[in-house]
Amino acid sequence: MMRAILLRDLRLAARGASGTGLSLAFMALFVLLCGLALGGSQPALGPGLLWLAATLSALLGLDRFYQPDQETGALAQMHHAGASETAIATAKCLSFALTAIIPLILAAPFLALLLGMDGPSITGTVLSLIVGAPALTAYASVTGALLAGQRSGGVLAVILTAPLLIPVLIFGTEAANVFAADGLATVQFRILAGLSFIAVALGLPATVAALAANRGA
Amino acid sequence: MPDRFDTLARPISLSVDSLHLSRGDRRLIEGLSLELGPGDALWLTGPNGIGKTTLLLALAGLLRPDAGSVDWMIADHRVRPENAVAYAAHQGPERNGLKLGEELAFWQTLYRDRKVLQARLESVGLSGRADTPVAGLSAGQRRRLSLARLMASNRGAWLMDEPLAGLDTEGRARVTHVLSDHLSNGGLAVIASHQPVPIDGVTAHKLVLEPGS
Repeated sequence: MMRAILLRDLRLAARGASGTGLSLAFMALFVLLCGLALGGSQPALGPGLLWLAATLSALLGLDRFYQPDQETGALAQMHHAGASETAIATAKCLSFALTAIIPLILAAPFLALLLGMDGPSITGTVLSLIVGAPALTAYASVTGALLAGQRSGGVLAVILTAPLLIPVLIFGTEAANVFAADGLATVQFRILAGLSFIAVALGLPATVAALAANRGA
Repeated sequence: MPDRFDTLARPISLSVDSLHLSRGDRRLIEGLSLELGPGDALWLTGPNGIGKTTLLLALAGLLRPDAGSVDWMIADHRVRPENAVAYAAHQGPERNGLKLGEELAFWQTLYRDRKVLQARLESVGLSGRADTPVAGLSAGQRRRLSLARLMASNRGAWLMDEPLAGLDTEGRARVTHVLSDHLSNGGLAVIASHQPVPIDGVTAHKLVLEPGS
């Protein structure tokens, strides 16, 4: 059941419904503009800028998380067909991670070169993005589910999700910064991993509750 | 017929008791009570905006009543609406990015339908259309898809919102045929429609929703 929903989402994403290209373009543009505004390459600011770029680009795809299926009534129909909200939320989160987050992480090293970052710094940033990805996905899922019933949730989504993502952003950037010197076994990486666990543990039930509320139950 | 819900052995019934419904701040249904059993069809009609869809949503468990109750029973056991009902909304859940076959196969998987996709497509007159993108379907073809989804649901009760909208003569005949088949197998149907939906062998109960009634 979860597999069917995931496959359907991936199929839709492959035909452009998830806006992966748009998010990637936004991320590239953001990094380029930062480079211009800050006057040339800024390797020291690199991890922070990439984290910011990845976070904002992920939020850009938020309104495609649950909204199309809410509008067509597909979410309610899936529930009627016996799919639990947990299965729906898990499948949607997996699909969001695969189509919205992972492409951004894969693009990060190339954008890092634009910022003049060196090898260890790039590795650190990518690893911290990977560790923080569950948190990005889980919080995006909550906000996406909460706003699925709203007509124009775009900016509201960013405002709602931003406070939740601040700790992730802080420790994500810090983890990337200290990676070159201390590797993976740092407090920053552990806290980032902890934040990801908390996000998933809170985000999934909150998404399930929001979806049930949208359904009218 | 093993691929069918076993409604004869597990009869389905609906009981609605003094139901009050509203949409936003508008009171639409006040104090509605009705009982339906296996093989019964209820035809809901009335002017636009009177609350036909609202009533269907409440029966499907997708709208919380202000007061009163909706109870679905299978073999004298109270069940949740989602276990008794398949709801064909006025506009389907289909996504434009998918092909017709993919869309229907997805719902077949969720409903654990045992019939093959081709048989389902054929029974609503869409055979050979599996590769047509959903975005390119006409209104009538979308109604046929919706009918196929109902058949695939294997649920005892069908809630249909304007099942004849956009359908040609042949399509309407198919709705009649499929619906009659469903009812004669002990199914139950609630149909919101402006025009009567002909059914073989059964006379649908008619419920006219009127302002102030």
